[in-house]
Amino acid sequence: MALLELENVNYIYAKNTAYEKHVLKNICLKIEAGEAIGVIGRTGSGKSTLVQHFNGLLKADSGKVLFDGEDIYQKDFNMRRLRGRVGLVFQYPEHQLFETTVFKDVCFGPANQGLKDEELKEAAMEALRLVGIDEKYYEESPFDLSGGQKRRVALAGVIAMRPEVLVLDEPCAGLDPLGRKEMFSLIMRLRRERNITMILVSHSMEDVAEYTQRLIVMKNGEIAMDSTPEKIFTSGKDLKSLGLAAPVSFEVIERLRELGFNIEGNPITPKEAADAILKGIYND
Amino acid sequence: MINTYRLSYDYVKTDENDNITHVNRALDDISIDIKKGDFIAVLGHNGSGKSTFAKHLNALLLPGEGSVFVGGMDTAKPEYTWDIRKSTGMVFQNPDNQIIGNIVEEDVAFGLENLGLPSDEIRRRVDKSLEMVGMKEFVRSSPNKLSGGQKQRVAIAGIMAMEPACIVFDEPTAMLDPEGRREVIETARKLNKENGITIILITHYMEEIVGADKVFVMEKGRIAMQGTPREIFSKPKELKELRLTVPQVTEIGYKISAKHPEFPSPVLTVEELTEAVKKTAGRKQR
Repeated sequence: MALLELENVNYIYAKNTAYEKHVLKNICLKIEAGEAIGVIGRTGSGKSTLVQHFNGLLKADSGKVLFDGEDIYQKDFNMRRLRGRVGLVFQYPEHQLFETTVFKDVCFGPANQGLKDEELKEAAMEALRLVGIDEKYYEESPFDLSGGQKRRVALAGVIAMRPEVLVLDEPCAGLDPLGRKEMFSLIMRLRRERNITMILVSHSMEDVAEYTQRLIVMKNGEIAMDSTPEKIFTSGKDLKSLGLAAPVSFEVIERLRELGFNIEGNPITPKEAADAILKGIYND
Repeated sequence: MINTYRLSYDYVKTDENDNITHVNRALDDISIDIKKGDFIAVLGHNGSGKSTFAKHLNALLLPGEGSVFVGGMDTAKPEYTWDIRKSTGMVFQNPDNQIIGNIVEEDVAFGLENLGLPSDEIRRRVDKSLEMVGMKEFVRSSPNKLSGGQKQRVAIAGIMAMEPACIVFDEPTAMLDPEGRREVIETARKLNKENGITIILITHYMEEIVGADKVFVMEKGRIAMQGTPREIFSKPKELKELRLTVPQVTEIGYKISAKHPEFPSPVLTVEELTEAVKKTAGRKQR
């Protein structure tokens, strides 16, 4: 049984107004525990709307969402518990920090889940440790931290609920190159240590090539493609019309093949591309 | 076009009695000279001072110490403020925060209406600016219906309508899809080449600066490195210490040259890389 399943989900924005827009159209989707999935597509293609259905934040106008086999729109379904099990990290999550201290802010989510006293403290401390925020900052105002630190505190607030699924909407937008790397090594560590299922909404083809094993491509509210990054980037479909581009590593390999060089495999990261070039062209 | 002389700026924090509790030096002794028609890129990690620097270029912030001259006008003199803002436009990260009109043409005309220009002149400038950014066919569209890249181009058209000499882009592509990123960067390049607009591009995407005339790398409010993109990307170790990196295509090149020193690094584009492979692998291939 899939961990998360969407059956014919439709979502209409601002229904019965002049701004009405059919944002999700008949979405069918199964996500297994432990997967690392990238959601890509143009701005406005429905990516963020889609992932906000995963924890019941948006309610489909028609269709079903099943978590662990349970219909989340059933009357007696424990929505609060779902919000803890599927953690959603919004774009620019640091804009949502609001408490007077870093520690209180991280406690907000798990406290709402019903954790108290020692248990609550432990969950918050563990999350802050995982994201690499030093204890000396616990009593500081979150607004006095640097941009990168703020974002990690916001992430800790979600991690402290110990979610099984982590949905990240553009977690690296606006971060410097090393900041991006640090954010991803943190997320990958979480995946290893807690076997977290990751769903990553991203505009960076390089990032999804590196960190996911399955890509869902959105176009005008529909799933245009759902496959491995290798297959999607090599499919020859018009990536540009989907608002996409193959990662530059793939482009390099394609160009060399056109020139008659013999390169094996489908490298999509710089390391894979360099290895394939060294092996295929330089006989290393 | 733009000169800064020993420019410094502090963010000052005070307690409830207005006593200074903390001073954070955001800019520290920056002297640079940007020539008319230059395409300048500014790199630096989060918190290095890039945006603070950018805000000094159209008098959104005024120097704490030192001075900034835009087209010969001292930004610290209030009588120049409006002329400076007309000559230096800014494009920010989030396209949705920059669009105010209900229709594209209204949005582009907003600044002009505030100048009190005659309506036929407004019409002429709106059409011309939308043409320059390749958005003419959307003149009567609702901005809501546009993609992120298209919205950014409408924002750029709004600036071009003011007939500026210079545009400062502060991470204009951070929220865009790959196609949107390409559209915005190509528009910036075109305005630079064809209309002689001085461009200052602040970004975290290393690929975007490859075509720049000159790159400044900031660290702790100072200029830590400067040079052409090739000079900058020849120093991957220094860049890494500044929390930056090289473009992925350059990275592939370095991995090849590490084993084959005859491979000429750095390569900055896919074309340069394939050329370099052709040259150095030709003999070995067959």
